[in-house]
Amino acid sequence: MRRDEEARLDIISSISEEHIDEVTGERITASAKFRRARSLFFKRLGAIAACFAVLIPTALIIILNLIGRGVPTYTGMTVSNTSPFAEESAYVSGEALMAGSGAKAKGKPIGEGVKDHFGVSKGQLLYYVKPGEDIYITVKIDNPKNYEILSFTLNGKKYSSYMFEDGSDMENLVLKVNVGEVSGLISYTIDAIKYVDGEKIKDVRMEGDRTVKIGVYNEDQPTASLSALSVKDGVAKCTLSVSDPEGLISSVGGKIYAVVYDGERVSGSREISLGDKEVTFEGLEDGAEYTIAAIAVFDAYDGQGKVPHVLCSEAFMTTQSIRATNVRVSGKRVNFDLSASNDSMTFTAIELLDAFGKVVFVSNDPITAIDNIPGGRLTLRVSYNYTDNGSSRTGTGETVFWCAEGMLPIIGEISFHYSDSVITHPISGNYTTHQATELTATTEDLGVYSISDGVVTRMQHYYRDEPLNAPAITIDGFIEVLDSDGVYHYYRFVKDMPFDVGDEVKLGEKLGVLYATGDVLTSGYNLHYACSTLHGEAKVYFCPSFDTPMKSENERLEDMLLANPIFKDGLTVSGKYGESVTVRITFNTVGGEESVILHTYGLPSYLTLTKIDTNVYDLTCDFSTIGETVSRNITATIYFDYFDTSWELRLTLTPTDVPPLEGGDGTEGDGTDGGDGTEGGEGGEGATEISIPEALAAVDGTAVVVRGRVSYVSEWNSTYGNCNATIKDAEGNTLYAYKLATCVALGDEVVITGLMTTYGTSRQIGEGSTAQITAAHGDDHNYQNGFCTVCGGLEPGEDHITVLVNIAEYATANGWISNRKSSVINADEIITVTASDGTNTGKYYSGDSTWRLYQSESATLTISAAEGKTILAVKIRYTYSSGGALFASGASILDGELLAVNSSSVTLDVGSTNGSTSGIIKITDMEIVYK
Amino acid sequence: MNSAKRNPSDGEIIELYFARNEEAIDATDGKYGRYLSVIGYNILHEKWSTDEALNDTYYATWNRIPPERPNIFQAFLSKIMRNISISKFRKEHAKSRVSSELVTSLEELSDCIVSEASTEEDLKIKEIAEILNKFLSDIDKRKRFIFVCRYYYADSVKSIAGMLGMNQRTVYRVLEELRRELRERLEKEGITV
Repeated sequence: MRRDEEARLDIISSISEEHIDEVTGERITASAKFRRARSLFFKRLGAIAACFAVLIPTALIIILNLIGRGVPTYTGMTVSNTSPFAEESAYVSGEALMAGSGAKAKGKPIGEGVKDHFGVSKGQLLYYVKPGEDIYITVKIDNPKNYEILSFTLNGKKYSSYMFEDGSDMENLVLKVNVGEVSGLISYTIDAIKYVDGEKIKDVRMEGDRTVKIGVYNEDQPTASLSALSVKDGVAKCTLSVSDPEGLISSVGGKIYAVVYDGERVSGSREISLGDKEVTFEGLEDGAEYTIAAIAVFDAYDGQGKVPHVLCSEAFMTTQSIRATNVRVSGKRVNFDLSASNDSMTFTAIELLDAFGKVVFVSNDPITAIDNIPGGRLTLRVSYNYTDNGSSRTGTGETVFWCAEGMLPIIGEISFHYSDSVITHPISGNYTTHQATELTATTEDLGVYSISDGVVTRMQHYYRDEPLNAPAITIDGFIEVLDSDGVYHYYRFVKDMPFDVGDEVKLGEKLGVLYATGDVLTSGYNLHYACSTLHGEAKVYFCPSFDTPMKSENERLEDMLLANPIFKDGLTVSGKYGESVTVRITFNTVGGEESVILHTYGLPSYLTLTKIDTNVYDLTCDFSTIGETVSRNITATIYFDYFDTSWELRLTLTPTDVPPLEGGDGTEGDGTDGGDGTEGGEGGEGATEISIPEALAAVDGTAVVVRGRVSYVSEWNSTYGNCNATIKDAEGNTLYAYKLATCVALGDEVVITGLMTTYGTSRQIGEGSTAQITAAHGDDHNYQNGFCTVCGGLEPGEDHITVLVNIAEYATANGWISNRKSSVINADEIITVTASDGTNTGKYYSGDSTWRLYQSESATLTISAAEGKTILAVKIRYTYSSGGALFASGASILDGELLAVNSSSVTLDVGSTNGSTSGIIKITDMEIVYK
Repeated sequence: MNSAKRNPSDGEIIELYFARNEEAIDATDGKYGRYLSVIGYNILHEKWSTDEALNDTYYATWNRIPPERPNIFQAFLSKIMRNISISKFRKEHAKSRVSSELVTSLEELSDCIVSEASTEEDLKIKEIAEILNKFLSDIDKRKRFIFVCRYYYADSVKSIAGMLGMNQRTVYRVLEELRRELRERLEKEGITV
């Protein structure tokens, strides 16, 4: 596509979801109506056509005699590769220039078999030639009066009658053209055919298709070779090397596949790219004949259309063996079948191997089930004797399977991707990331008890950051290299996790947990990301209530301590409990804010309280990066203290190195020196605090640091890690921060750092800003006249009555019908909510269960109480379209914002915050407090 | 009397996705396959690629539900189908040009939306998109329907005329008016065309 088209497509694709949803719904209905109408139309047309069948020929004869019948008319072009006047003229239409190739295993040749699998679509072209060939273009003209044709223009070049091929007449103008040496698609467009009428030169009437397209075949077709073919236990592996020097496949949107073909059908295929690719096909039948091949599906401009081309192929036979088949895992039991022995093969033993190749079960009987199998990647290895040319030999057949039982749960996943979602950091020719586990151990009694991902490709450990000069480490051998001098040492396991190009990084998806029987350790991750600042939020969970955070704090990680210790009452001696810590880190990268949640499960997963005492546990989280990126090390400490009747949990996160300055590019500084870890994150270029009016006056894109008290905050979005907030200064000036990446609370005094943007006509701090809470409001309210002077919150009162209205529930209970007006809600016997009159205002929509009000109808919402009652406050939950918002006395009331009323009624207007005059409010819930 | 097979409701289909029941795909295909194919074909103009895009749409839907629970299922599917088709169109036609309703509709817009995009124009594109959305909010519903069908879904003029029971010439005239009004709106907002 051209760049300007790309730009237009981007703009059109940005049409808001509101418009798309509206049109899509109507479009579906309209399409259905159109189809029905068209069907009816054609039925009627058939009847009418029968009536007119007799009349039309007569009418045509009359009309043709009346109009200028003799004017020459262009009717189209044809192409041939020999002169149409030669004795044997041959059109190249649809002629195959390149025949498919392929080895024949059995049944149909692979060239035919893959056509069945991939299908064949007719090419878009009618004519195909080879480079450098001459073609003959015949221009067809209906010329009943045989006017003299003077010339025509083809692709902008004028051709006169003397240039036409011998044999041309006034109805068939033949021109010989050489297609040139360039392959691909070429077009010939005709224009301006001139003829002589008396003394005048006139234009021929143009009625035929003016353009003809020709595909020029390229001799330098894609090629492929196959090497290193190995076949064992129903698995075939080989390397396919595909080259396409002219880029023919990609130029026409073709694809390349590796396939295995059994003579009747393609039993396995996968898309591959150019270059050397190792492919594996599993589950092949024993003793069967197959063909493995590289296939390119594309239009080669050879006349066949878009068809599969066999680039290379090789037939092979799978071996005969005895092995486990039809493997079924249920819990910790595996059932399987043994492929049949025969006279030449005799079963001798079956073994079960764990992920590390260690034999964990052996039987000399031909059993078909094993209990108490370990978790992870397992292998069933069957040994057998067989006779080969009179000699007795032994063989083995292996079957790999997985057992999820006993595998440790997935406990973490990186939710962002390196750069453009593709791993771009090449290591060893493949693409590799790795996870690390830091160990702090004082004991030699250390072993690995379980690893959830059975494929451990490398075990390397380090002392500090230096690889230990030790021989290849096995699980058993690992213990031997640990120090046992009673002093803390730091080791690190590194487990390679190979990825293919295009895979997304999901680090921690198959995290293994390494246990030490004595002291314990942490698991951490290497983060493939540059970062310039670290901000953090800690959520502390107390098991077994994993799903419910008991406490959530959001602080800078530079020196983080939960403001209030967390207490868990009612724990009993001998009770079994556990704990975990979730840390959310926000990386302020060059590309914007990125978040990742790290689940750090410290200590044994469950603790049994055997006595009432004080416990202190340490966790060390290694948030380091690789390559050119910056490292941070953070030490987390969890305290467990038992006071009187409850346990206290306290988390401290302390960085052990210094973060680069805010505003830096994330590449400077090695994070190992230059400060104590508490000052680095505060600095940064341009971090001067300004007032809210100054921020509102700043142009879009200006970095601002603004102080204020939180006067409104939406619910914290834990999925994306943000909330919307409004801050207010002492003069009452307000500033809205959209998708603030820090969890703040109503009444908190904060300093927000972010970029100014404009939404419609409103100024705001754009997405991704962060806040430093300089004074948390907490629960220390200062109530005056029923409301907190700090956060504006409503003072609890014994005589206060709160009535909640959920529109979905209310609509169901009261029989509201979608797309119909229902203007009054009786929240209870005291409170009435009334939408003003209007064509659409007050309509209920069941699709999103909302009650809607329209700015274009000057809608209002009135909440009133019965005589003698006072409405103290209201809170409306709503979504909006076209910048719609509720207003009270000219001030906008945001979704979920508490509005102080202190009156028997209140009326809210519908307006917009972006200058629109068509704002829409969609109410979902209302909360009204009265007394 | 024969009982006609009832199409499952959108809610029932979504529940099948939540139950990880593969019949969800068949039910989606049965109810919306033809409709989605039209969206894909308008963009790709090639049955092979349209079928591929349709399969990719079902796969993406399977992966997104759950956790997502779309409010308007057909709109949810339409957007996925369009995005996948456009992505495929961009990839497959990076070098060669193939005429489709999408290309035709984009060419129509050349007289009112940006003549040439460049890297420094990224912000301009965003700005134009905002103005366009505002423009769509301000025009009446029928015009908005015509605009979105033609330029977002790349529906042919004939098809739009059929859906609205109008003649094609009227649709052409409305589209011309809309482009002129959009161009004037952009110029008023300081966007040079």
